[in-house]
Amino acid sequence: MNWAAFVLGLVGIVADKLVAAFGSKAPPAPPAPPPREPGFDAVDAEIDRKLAGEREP
Amino acid sequence: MIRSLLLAFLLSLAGCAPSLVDARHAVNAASELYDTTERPLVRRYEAEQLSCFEGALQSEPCIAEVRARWAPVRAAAEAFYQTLVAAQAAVGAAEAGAALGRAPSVGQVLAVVLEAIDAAEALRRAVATATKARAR
Repeated sequence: MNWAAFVLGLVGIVADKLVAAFGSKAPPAPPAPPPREPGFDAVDAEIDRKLAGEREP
Repeated sequence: MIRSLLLAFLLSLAGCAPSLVDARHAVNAASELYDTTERPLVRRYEAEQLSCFEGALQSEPCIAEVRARWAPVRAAAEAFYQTLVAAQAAVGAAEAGAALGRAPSVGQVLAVVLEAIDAAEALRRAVATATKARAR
């Protein structure tokens, strides 16, 4: 038996196991887009309600 | 804030080849800028419209004037948001590619990031114009 080949093979297997355990080959999760506030449209809707209330007798 | 973003970006371009890390820093800073900018703008927009209900002014024409004056600000805020989402996606995709061993096309990513920075600057200009128009 070629001992050098055996040791190299063993090292390869151990290295593969280490990479599988600690190294991640999966791409990192993409960052989430910034959260969106209801914002300008919600303000307009609120003001329109207020205007409608003002018009009512 | 926008100037410091641009300065950091230009320094990185001048110093050495820009990297994905530079792009990530710029996108994160732009996201923070968006988070801290939009909410106060919406509050100001609301306050200006609510002020139309006070005093002798007729509410409807006053509100119409506020909305017309703020329209460019709203459009610029929307554009900033859209370019920011695109920049985040571009940087994220490039980072994922790099993790898989693919050489990222940093130039393309940086172009998208620069668009987001330009959009932030456009928003700043739109707010300044709307504020100046009110002061008149």
